[in-house]
Amino acid sequence: MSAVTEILSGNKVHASGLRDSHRPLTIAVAGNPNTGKTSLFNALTGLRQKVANYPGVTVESKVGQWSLAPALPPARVIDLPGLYSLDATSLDEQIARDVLLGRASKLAEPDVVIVTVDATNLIRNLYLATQLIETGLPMVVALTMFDLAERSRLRINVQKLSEALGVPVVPVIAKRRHGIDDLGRAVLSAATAGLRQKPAWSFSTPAQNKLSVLSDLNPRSWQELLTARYRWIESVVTESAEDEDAQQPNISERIDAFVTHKFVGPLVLFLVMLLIFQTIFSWANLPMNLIDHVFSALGDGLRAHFPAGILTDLLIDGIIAGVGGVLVFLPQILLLFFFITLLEDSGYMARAAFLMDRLMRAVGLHGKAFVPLLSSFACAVPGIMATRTIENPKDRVATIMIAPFMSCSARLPVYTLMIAAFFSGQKVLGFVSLGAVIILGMYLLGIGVAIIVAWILKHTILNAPSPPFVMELPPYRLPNFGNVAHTLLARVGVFLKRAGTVIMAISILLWVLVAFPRSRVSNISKSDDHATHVEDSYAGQAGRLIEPLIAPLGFDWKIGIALISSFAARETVISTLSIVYNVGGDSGAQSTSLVTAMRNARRADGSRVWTPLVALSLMVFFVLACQCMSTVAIVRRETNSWRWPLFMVSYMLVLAYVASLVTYQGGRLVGFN
Amino acid sequence: MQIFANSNENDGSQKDRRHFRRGPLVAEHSLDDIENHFHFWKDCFVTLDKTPPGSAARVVSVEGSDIVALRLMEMGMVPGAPVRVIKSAPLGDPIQICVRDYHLALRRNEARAITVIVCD
Repeated sequence: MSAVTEILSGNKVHASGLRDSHRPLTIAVAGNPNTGKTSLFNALTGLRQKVANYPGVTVESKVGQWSLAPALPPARVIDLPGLYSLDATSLDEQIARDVLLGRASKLAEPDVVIVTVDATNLIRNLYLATQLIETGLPMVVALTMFDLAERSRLRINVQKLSEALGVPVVPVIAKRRHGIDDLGRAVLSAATAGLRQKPAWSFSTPAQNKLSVLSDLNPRSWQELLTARYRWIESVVTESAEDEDAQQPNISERIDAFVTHKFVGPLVLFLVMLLIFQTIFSWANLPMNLIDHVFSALGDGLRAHFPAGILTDLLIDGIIAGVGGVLVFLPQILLLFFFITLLEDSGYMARAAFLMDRLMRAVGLHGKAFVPLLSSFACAVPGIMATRTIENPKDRVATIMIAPFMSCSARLPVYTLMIAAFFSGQKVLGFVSLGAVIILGMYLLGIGVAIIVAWILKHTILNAPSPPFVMELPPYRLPNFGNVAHTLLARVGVFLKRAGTVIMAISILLWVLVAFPRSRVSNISKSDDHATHVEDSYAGQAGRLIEPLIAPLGFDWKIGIALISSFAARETVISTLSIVYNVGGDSGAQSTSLVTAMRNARRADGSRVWTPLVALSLMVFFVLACQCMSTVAIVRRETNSWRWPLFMVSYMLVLAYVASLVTYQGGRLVGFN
Repeated sequence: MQIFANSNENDGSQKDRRHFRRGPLVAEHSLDDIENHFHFWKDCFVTLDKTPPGSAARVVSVEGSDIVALRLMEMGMVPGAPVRVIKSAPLGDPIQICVRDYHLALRRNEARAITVIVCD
């Protein structure tokens, strides 16, 4: 028996309407994407909302509270993912449909459904509405963008529309809170009235009651059904709406004349990306350094006041450093998401995907993968969070898997140190600095490997027929800054709660590895013996343990320690090298003492540890290895499993090892050393 | 009108076409007429990926029973729906179209599933 007939058979809760006035109502907000659904949800619930994942999948669910009437407990409002119809073609749509039809586990079926219908695009929006009306669920249509429709001189007779559909229609302007009270009243009376009769015009005959598996019917009959629905909608719209300005060319199309133009379009895209890149790359540095300084100052301050000992070290080097390591990402995440939300809400994101799709498809990815990948050049963490705009799960995972190959800002200090130490002052072709060429080469290496890996993944484990690229190019609209703020808050909350905890845990673990066992030197004055201490620690022992393994790459055990610690975050390689070379305090990338120490370091046989070739080999390793626990944590969170992050770390490690090996051994064969 | 390159030879084409759209076909026309009309109209049926940018068209049919056809139709591309190709992306693919007054991007191989009749 299908869900619909179950509902119709009537012994479910809302058949008797508001039987129990103490039970909070459950209200689902459904609607096409880009119809102001989220604005409406925000207007209804304000800040009382919670973002979570639906069980087992990475589709986000947003639940908020709405005080409908003083006498009633606040209603639970569910903001469903946008959907075009109940015949779900994407995961988002499946989830939305399951919630609407009461099939989602752990979620009660809604008492009332609010369908948002974009007044400026009535016909297509009403398609979902008619499908929902046919289910008989108590329903209210919220006519959004009503102000925009009026401005473009589209007259809608709400009364007539409501009569034709057989459900209440309430015009709302969410950002000015117009019509919210009317909507509340309509929702309450719909809840009291309970289930409706099937509308007279219903197209789903009993045989087609399983309307949500339309594609199971033979193609002929579902096409006819679909066409009949649209015909009916067309007649309703002709009756109840009048477009006085049908011939007026719309503004979006005029903007698109530039934005998706053959030559101007890519230029605009380039400038937009440049701005975003500039922001997260350099402007975010200021607050990031501030956070860094605050936390190290806090650590120093505490160290001065607390007695030296394990607990103090744990507090300062483990916990405070860990919290700092989490918070330091916030400026970048906030800035990137500020821009991404702006791009999404204004309608530009779809245009960027439109422009880049052909290029991205060459490696089997979706046009929407472009922005997340580009953002990953600043930092893979916000970049991976940004892949949420890609609907197809396999495309999304493929994008996530290659995002860490984009050389992020954390690799730059490593490149800078290596170049300062071994390639400074040298020129190529007489005028180009060798350092610049090498850095460019590292970026290109990352991109090249990403392309190959994406191609392989999409043709093996992530192989799937590519889903239809039927993407709406929504009309340009001024973003609503309230919505942007809501999204930012939600993102930050998610990052702190889910990724933050993992980052903290790994940070403490790494501290343990470096700090233990507490050897004989632990009580002797600190800085002098830090080096010996690290040598004896678990990390130091591990460095010696992996020495045979990394010797073919040109690395000795001290570099091994740095490699191990760098799996927390790449930039720690510098502070670790400072510790093992015992140069203390000043650990910046330009640190001359560190550079000198590295140049002078000798192996047991007296040969130099560091040669330009070793430096190059190390840089190659850093391009390809996934040495970033924050990335691992965010991939865990975004893919909802440990399988993908573990796979990512291991395949990237293998790639890095092989590439490094080829660089070092190849270089020696050709005669560099 | 430029896409009806051969229609200029036929003086009455404009009138005939209008007539064809409205009137019953078989009763009033001779077999020859029908054949002429058929050849004339055949040129007007194109798949959406071959529709010249800027020309207004109407959907005739959407091929296939798969997910693509379903998605296209539930987005409003049912027979009779007004559709207009706006432009291609800089690299030739995907294309931007306007259907029922809203804009959609689709790849050429998906546009191939849609047959339209060009009605300038």
